[in-house]
Amino acid sequence: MPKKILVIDDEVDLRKMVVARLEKSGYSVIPAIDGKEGLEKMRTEHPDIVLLDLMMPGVDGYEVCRQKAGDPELKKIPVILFTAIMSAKPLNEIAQELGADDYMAKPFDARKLTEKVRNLIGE
Amino acid sequence: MKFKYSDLGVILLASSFILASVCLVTVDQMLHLPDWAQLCPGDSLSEFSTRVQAFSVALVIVLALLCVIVIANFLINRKKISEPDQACVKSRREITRDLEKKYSLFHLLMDSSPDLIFYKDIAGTYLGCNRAFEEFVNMTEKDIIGKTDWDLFSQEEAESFRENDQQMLTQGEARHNEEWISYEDGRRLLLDTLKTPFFDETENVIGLLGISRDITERKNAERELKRAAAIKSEFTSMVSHELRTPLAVVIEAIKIVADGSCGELNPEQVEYLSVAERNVDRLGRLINDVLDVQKLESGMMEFDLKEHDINELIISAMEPMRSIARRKGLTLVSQLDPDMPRIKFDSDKIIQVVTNLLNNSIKFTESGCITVTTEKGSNYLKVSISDTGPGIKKEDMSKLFGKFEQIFKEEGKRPEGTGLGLAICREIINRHSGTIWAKSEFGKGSVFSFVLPVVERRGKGA
Repeated sequence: MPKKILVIDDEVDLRKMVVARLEKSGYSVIPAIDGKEGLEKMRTEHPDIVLLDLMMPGVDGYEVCRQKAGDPELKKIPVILFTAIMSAKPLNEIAQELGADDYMAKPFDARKLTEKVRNLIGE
Repeated sequence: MKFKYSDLGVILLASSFILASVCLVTVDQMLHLPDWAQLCPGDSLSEFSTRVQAFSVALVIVLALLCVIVIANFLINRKKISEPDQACVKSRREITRDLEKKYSLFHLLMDSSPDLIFYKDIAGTYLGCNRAFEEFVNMTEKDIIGKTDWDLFSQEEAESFRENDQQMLTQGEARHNEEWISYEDGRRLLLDTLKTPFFDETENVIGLLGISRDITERKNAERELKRAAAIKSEFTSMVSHELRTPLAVVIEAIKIVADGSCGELNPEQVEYLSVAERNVDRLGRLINDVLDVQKLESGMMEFDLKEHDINELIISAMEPMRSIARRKGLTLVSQLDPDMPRIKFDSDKIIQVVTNLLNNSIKFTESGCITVTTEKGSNYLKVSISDTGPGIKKEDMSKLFGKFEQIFKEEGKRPEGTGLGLAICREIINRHSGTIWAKSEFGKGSVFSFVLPVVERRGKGA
């Protein structure tokens, strides 16, 4: 059974490429277009890891992390954050605060992302 | 009242005439009295009367002469006295005129200033002002003198001015305040007011002098500038995100096909995909450079200053260059002074500088060698990268570190790169309080060098 990855990002093309890259590495990938769909899919699909974009309309990445942390079922799922935000706070601090397991700044090399996934959940 | 000769003269004159007249009348009268006639015999009586008359006349003449002398004396002295007196009066007039002139000059000077100048006593009563102030409160100086802030401004404004006055007077030295004034028509002005106490000869504060300048425009300009800067940096972040995202997608899409993950490729497909890849990478570098320059210029770039060994940094920067240099048939050599002190700098940024300079040297040099040296100076360390490339023409030297300046490698061929690399290097080195420059001889090669200051360590051992 291939490991399941949930990719939550509102940018369609970028998500498509991330999905493509991960599928080629042998994972089963579920896309979600925003935070709301993401949380739903987390509950219905039980992914092994979640890849989460921070900047999304409506329920954004921050909100997803908050809700996920508050749900005993979802809490355990590892999260990799990615975002293009250039904020005053460094990304690693934000990742720590939100309880993420890893992070990547956009634009990233999808191969690096795949490596990070592999480090967290294996092949 | 001074007792003058004139008074004496008058008294003498008056008394002498009175005396003389009395004498004449009395004697004459007496001589004609019947009783007197009995005492003296006939002839001797008239003789006596004549003698008395003569005597009285003589007396009158003598006294008159005396009076004349006295009066003459008085007149002469009077002239003498009045001369110095007049002199005193004259100079007093001159002095007053002088003072008036000085006061008008002082007032003219005050009036020539566009700033509002005014002075009050410590109770806050206006003592005077210049024309600008008159126009400002729409009253003449005459009307202003004797009034207080409550007569000239609104209650609120007057209270705040007096408060500023008091604060300044308590401190005893000049103070700047920014004060907002409202006009009846709703206009608002911002004044930068300097208030300072003034003292009498015994060093007591006797009032305050105020000079106000209208800085409404300047404040507005400052606000506009701040807003523009904020918009600019917001724009930069947005642009950064908006440009980089599709770029990332394109790079990813090309890579996933180019590395064969979607099936095998024929040589043509491989070639054109790599063309696409190269150019997309170039686009990415351009975006990064432009954003770097923007960040540096707006002061938004943060520098992580930590102690590093410059030699180590040079070695690690040279590593990825070796294969490129080898491919071009160039030798990459390093001559590093082993005695280099560890100083504080942002290693990422300095690596960026060294990499950029190495890249340039390799790009422009067709044959020969590229040498990197480090030197220790008295209070600096110097890094030089020299090449055996074509060198730089004298007329191009001044433009070298400018933005978007590029040297054309060959006539007609557009150069690669963004033209921002050296500009960014210069910004980075300048922010480290260092200097970067180039020396070149056209046809022989170039040397790019930069120095970083060595700051003396305080205390804590050698």
